[in-house]
Amino acid sequence: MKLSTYQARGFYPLSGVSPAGCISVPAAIVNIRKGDYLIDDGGGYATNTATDTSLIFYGIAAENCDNSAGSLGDLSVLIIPFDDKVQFSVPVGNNAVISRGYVGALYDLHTAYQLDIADTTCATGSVGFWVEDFDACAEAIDGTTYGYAIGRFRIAAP
Amino acid sequence: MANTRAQLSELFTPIYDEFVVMGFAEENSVVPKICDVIDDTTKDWKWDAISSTGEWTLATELSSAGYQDYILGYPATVTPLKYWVKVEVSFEASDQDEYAKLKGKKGEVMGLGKGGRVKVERLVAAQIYGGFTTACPDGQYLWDDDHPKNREETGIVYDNLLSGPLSHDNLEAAEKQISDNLYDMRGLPILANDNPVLLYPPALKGRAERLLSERAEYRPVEGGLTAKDSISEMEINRFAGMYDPICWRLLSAKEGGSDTAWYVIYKELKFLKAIYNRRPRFANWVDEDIEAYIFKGSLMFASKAVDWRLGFASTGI
Repeated sequence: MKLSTYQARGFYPLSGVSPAGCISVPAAIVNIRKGDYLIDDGGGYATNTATDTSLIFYGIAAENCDNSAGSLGDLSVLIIPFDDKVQFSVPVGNNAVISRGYVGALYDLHTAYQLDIADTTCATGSVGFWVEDFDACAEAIDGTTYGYAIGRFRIAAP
Repeated sequence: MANTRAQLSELFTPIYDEFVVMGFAEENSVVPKICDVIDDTTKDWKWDAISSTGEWTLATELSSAGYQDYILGYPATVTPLKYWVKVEVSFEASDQDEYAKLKGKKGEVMGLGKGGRVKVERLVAAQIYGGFTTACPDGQYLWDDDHPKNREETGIVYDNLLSGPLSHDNLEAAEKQISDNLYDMRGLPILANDNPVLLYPPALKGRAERLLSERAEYRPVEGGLTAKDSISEMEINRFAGMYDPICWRLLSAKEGGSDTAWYVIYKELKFLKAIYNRRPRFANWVDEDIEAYIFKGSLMFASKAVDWRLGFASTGI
C-alpha cells in the first residue's frame, strides 16, 4: 500500500482513533516525539526508552512532548492507548528493505520509533507489531532506508 | 560629531570656484520587487506555516483509514532593529548667515533618507547572497540540496541549490530541477503563475540579457551558415519573456556578494519578508542647552527568508 506520509520516525495511525480517545499521562524527563512507543518508566511516568516490546506499554504518543528540560511530570503527553483496531505505519530500522516475505509476522522494536524486522522475538504478553502490509517504493526508501511496515499492535501469544 | 562654525568654515569655504554637494539621484529600489513588504509594530514578527492535507489515499470498503494530520512548518522570528542618522549644527554655524548649504534646513534633512534606503536594500541583498552559508528556519542553508519536506518527513529532501554558471543549458537544467523540487510540505506541487524574477549581479548583465533576448545569440558556423542552419531552433529563444530580469548591484562581489551567483525568485510565494517596524521618519529640533539644530532620520527594519521555497540559486561555479 502506498503511504501518503513518510515520517522520519514513529508509529503514525492510518485509521481513526477509537471513540474512547486518547489518554494523558505525565512524561518522564525525556523528549517524546509524536509516534513514539511509550512505556512506563517504573514510576508512573511515560517514557520512550523502549527498544523491545513491553508488558508495560501505554500506547503511541499522539503529539510531541519535550520534557527533557523539566522535572518528572512537568508536562503530560497525549497517548493513543493500545487498540488492535488502529492501523499504523512505521519506518523499518533494522536490517533490510521490507518486502512481501516479511508480512504476516509479529515483530519487535528496533527503537521506540522503528521496527526490527529481523527480530520476531516478543516477550509473552507484551505488545508486538503485527505486519500486514508494507511500502518500499522509491519515495519510501528515500524517507527511510528500509521502507515502511504497515500493521497493528497485538499481544504476543503465550 | 557636530558641525561647528570652525568646521563648516573649512567645509564651505568660498575660495573654490565650484563647490558641489555630493548628492545624487537614487537607484531604483529592488526590495519591493522581490520582497513581501510588511508593516508591523510588534517587537518580534513571528512566522510559521501549517501544511495543507496531502494527496488523497485509496479507500477500502469498511476501512477507517484516510486520516491525515496537519503539520507545522519551521518557525521564524524577525526582530526589526533600529537604524538612524543624525546631524548637529551649531547656532553659530547656521545663523551667522554665510553658507548657503545651511539656509534651507528643513529641505536638507530629507537628504538624510538616501542612506536609510540603501541600508534596507543592503540588508535584503545580504539575505540573498548570504543564503549559501546562512541557515534558513529549517536548519539548512537557504540555498541547499537537503531541505526536509516537513518536520516529520525529514527523510525526504528537496534541493534548491542550482549548479553552474548562468547559461542557456544551466537555466534549462534549473527549470527541470525547479519542477522536481518546488513542492509544498505535503508533497503537492506548488503552482507559480507569475514569471519568476531572475536576479543577477552586474557582472552577469550581458549574459543575462543575451539569454533572455528574443532571438538567440548569432552562432556562426565554420564555413558559413546554410539555409537549414539559419532556421534552426537555436535561433528561437524560448526563455524570452519567461523571466523578470533584475540586475542588482548590491549582489556583486564588491558589495560582499558574488559576481557569478544567480537566483530565481518566486516573489508571489511571499517567503522573502521585509519587515518595517517603523518606516523612515524624520525629525528636527533645537537643542537650546547647547544651542544647536539637530536633524534626525530613523527607521526600524529587518529582513528574513522564512522558507527555502522563495526561490532557487546557483553559486555560478
